[in-house]
Amino acid sequence: MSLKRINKELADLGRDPPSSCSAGPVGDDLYHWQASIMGPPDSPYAGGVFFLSIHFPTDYPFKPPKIAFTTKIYHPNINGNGNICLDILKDQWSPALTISKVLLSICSLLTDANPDDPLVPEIAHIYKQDRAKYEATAKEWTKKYAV
Amino acid sequence: MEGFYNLLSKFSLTESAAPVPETAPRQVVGTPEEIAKYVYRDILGIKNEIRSYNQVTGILHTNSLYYKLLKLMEEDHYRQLEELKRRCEYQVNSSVYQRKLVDLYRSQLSELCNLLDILKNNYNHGIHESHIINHRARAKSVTASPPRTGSHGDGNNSIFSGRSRSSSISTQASPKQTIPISLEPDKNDKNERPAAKFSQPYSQDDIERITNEAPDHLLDPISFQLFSDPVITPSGITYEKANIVRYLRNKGNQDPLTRVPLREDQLYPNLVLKDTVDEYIQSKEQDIKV
Repeated sequence: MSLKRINKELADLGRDPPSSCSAGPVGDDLYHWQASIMGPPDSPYAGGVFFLSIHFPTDYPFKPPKIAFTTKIYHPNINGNGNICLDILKDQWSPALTISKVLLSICSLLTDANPDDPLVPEIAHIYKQDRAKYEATAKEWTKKYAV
Repeated sequence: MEGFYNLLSKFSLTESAAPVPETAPRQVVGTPEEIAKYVYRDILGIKNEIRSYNQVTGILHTNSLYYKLLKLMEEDHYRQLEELKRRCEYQVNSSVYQRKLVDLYRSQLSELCNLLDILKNNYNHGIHESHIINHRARAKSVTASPPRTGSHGDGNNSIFSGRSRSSSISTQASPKQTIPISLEPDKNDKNERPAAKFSQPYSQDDIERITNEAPDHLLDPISFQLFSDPVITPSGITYEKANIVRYLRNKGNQDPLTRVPLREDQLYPNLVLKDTVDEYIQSKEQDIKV
């Protein structure tokens, strides 16, 4: 079932692509995709293009896909390995979610970080104490790694 | 030192021999040497059947797992035979050799029969999925239209005619019951028409196209495939029963779309949607035929 569903998602993405992201298989392996997200305009990531790797489990969509940033990004909920702390990728996953919806959620995570459930406490601390410093560093990283 | 062997095929060893009445399963009684001939002939028969099955289904294309399996099996059989000859010091007329030869042939025969069963099973299972969406529509049309006969051509290379000629491998009482597929229309068997499955198989592309062109409300939100057994939740969302049940039993306790708490006993069939899907498939089937 997973393969058919992945195929259908791919067809739907081609027919009706989301505005700020794209996704597709890396090679012949339909279980391994690459995705890209444009930094949201109202965020310090604006102007950057961030790449992510997507691995579908064989029992997808009953289990969530494994999604990680491959582009370095300065964000309280994304660590140095690109791992994302997002509830819908873990215990709040629902089989009715799609890659398209998940990517949109990641986009909104870039706009609105969640410093109360941080993956990188240092960044979360700066985000809360000195927002200007956080934004400056995030912009700097975006310029350095994502432009 | 006599043994017996229940014949797989009803054909006689010699062309001129009188055909055997269909009512009795044929059994040959004789010395191991005589029996070996019959078993070997059945081995050839099964190999022929595998070959014709391949002609119909193409399942044994080079490099497929089954092809390799068959090749390995044949090599192994050859090796076993050579080894037996060697062990009996090539005294092929000795009764020890003949007895062992019969045993060897019997085990090889059963291996080949198993392979054929696996092939059929796998092929049927594979196409089962692609046919499941038009299964119900077909069931309707089967009762309406006259039974299909001989749709595979004149049968000499058809696996179905092949099967209808052979009785069962074992000692089951009535050969009539053991013939799984007959080309003749069988009045007693209206429901099971496996032959109809093969008569007009849709390609994977057709299935995919039907699914891809389908409006979203005809698709299960979990598998994104056309509904075949839709059930509706208290939130008003419809899912394919097997998928929502699998999700709920797999520690999911909510409606996947609305996240409202949900239990299995709250699911009810959505018959209107089921009919809508059936109608949609039928309309698409017309397109394919045209």
